[in-house]
Amino acid sequence: MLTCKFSVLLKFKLKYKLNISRRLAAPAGSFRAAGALLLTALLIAAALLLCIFVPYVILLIHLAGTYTEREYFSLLLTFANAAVFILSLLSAYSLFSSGREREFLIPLPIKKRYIFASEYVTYYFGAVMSSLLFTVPGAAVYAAGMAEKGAPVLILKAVLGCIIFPALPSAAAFVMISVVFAASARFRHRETAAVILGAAVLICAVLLRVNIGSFNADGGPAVRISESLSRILFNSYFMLRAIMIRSLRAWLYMLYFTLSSAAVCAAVYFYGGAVYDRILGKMKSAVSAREKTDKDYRQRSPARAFCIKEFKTVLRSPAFALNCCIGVILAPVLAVTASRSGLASDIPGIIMCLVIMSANMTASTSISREGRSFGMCVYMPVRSADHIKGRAAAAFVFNALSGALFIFPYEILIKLNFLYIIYEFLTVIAASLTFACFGLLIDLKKPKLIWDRETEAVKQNFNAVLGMIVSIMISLVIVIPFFVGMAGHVSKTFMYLCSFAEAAAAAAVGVMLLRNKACSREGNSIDGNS
Amino acid sequence: MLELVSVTKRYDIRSVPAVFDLNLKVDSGEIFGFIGPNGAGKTTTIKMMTGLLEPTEGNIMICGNDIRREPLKCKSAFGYVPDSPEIYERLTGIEYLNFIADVFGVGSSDRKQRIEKYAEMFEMTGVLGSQVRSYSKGMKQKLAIVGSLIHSPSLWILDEPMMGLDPMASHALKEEMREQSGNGCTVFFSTHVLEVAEKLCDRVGIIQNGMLAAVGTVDELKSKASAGESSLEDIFIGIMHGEGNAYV
Ligand SMILES: Nc1ncnc2c1ncn2[C@@H]1O[C@H](COP(=O)(O)OP(=O)(O)O)[C@@H](O)[C@H]1O
Ligand SMILES: [Mg+2]
Repeated sequence: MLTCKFSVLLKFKLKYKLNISRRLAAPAGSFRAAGALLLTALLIAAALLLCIFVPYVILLIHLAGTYTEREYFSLLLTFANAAVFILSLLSAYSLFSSGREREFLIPLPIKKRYIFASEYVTYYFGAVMSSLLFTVPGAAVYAAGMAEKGAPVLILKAVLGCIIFPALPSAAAFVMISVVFAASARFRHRETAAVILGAAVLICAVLLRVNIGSFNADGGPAVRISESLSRILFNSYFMLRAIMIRSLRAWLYMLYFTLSSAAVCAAVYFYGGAVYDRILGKMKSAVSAREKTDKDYRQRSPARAFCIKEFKTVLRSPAFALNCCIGVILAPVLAVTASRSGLASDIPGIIMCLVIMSANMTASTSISREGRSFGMCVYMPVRSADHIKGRAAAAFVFNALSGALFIFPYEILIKLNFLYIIYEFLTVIAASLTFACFGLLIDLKKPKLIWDRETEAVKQNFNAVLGMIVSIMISLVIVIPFFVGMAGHVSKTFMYLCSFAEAAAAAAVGVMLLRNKACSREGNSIDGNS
Repeated sequence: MLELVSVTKRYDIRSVPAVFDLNLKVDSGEIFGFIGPNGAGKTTTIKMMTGLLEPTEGNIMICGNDIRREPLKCKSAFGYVPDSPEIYERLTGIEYLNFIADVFGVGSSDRKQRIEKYAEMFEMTGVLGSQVRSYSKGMKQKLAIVGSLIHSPSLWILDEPMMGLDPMASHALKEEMREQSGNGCTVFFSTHVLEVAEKLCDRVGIIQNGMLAAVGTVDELKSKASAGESSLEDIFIGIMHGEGNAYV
């Protein structure tokens, strides 16, 4: 009876996480619309795969050619460990920062443990996905280069291994985030504390992992570190052996691997079951109230009021803050680490900067984040132009901030000519405006207004992904002059000015489109979404 | 002040309309009670009045302006309290009120005076510094009420405003409705608490299955009623049992 309930719960959670059924069910009215949506989704997925995987696979091929198989796999596993760890940090964070759904589940006759268990299974499922994404291409590249047979067995081992592999990094991430939240619960402004502490942990993790896992062109120390790491981390150690050894003994290692991972999972499950509810309860128990109401009755323009509201809501919600400001948090860290890698020069710098800015979803989820309160923008006498202006301004600030926080440290560290830094900064400013406008255009088209947990409005929002892709495409156009410059004999100044001109033109187009949209929406109702 | 001309709303083209051919006129300074059972179409009507929903047919005029043609003019004229207020959860009460005041362009001295007055009246002063998501349902309702009054509207639309209010707040709200109507503001509210409607309203409209079954002052309705129907409740029950034709 109860196990049956657990499976219902789990199915619900997994569906929720994948969100596929809902995304397809949304335009279920017509079959053709669903087909079109599926097609665009596939196209976008393909584009994303291309953007991320082609460079990754090229890197892997390069590594496979350079190192011995043992070094190759320890590098790969270190990398996978890092990726799973960092992604798990993020999902553990959203696990702890949202409790709405629990409020609805707890009064139901379901064992409390099952609620956590289903959370944990979905959490682990996410970790497995990221592990598969990073490790299987590595094994495939390696298997492709193998002359002898045995490649299918290798891939099988890798896939099996990848499912078990995340136990350790995801457990570590879970424990760290639980400590962050337990600590924040002691502060008066607990959510702000959670945002700050969470960001600090993330920065430390990225700094540490990027440093260890950085694939320098010469490589020496990175390989040595990952070799010694794979001796310490049991999952890398066992998986390395399970893959490298071609005899039956490999399966013995696989067994050890499975058993130890299961033990870790069990430990986290019992630990989590014990602390999860308590931490969430503490986080929820009171919203930090200021005793003294600030009696600020200054009048502001509506656009400004919206802009300020955007800042406040984004920064006060852990889920929004993490998803919308992650670029701002990580930009300086990435700038410092990237500037020290062997490949550092000005052109990869601006590309990286634009990619970081593209990941910002403040604009592309601006309307969705309002959720059901969006009705207020309809029944209040606010001109669409005003509230859109306010939103665009807030998104622009976040974009520009992440761009500037990357470009200045990075380019100063690699000692670029100061004039060029200014040119790049101007490009960043124009690109920020462009991304803000296009993100808003996307979210205005079909905002996701029905959600219960704040994470749904950002992480599980199709508009966020779409905004990211559009921004990356615009970035590609903006950096074309650099590639032309690298190939031909164009002066550097000309190259920078060209890309700035492109960014400015894109910004002008974005502003114009947004303006048209704002005027056409005047007084619109929200029939379709109610 | 407020005029609905053969307003019809269908949520789905094929389905029966939620509101059908509704004609209604409410004058300045009047307190109008809009009563009907659950699912009668009260919220649908009110959402069309506020621009949240588009009527399938018909026009809605507020202060002589069509809500679809002059949305901003209409919207600056009314204050609206939704049936389940969805307020920005991450703002504090005072920030929310300031936000509303900014949108309506209320000057700083006016807003200060009104916020203080209404916060006092609804016993909100102590909690205005906390975030809205820590509020109970009734507190959110009260905040929405204060927010709807901040620009001193000339039409005050409330959708089942008594729901979730404690007796004190409910009393304060009724007093404020009288006060507003005395100052020339039109009050339009929906309810299914008949005693409130009977005591408070200048006129009432009874809606059933999306159609207006009766409209008039309580006394008018009583005089039209068959003998023995001496209270609004009796009239209401009578209409629900299908004796509606007598009242239109
Ligand atoms: N979003 C919607 N989609 C379809 N039907 C709706 C929707 N909202 C309300 N209805 C239907 O319209 C009718 C009137 O609802 P409503 O105006 O909310 O009633 P009331 O507020 O008087 O209780 C009901 O039959 C309800 O089922
Ligand atoms: Mg209703």
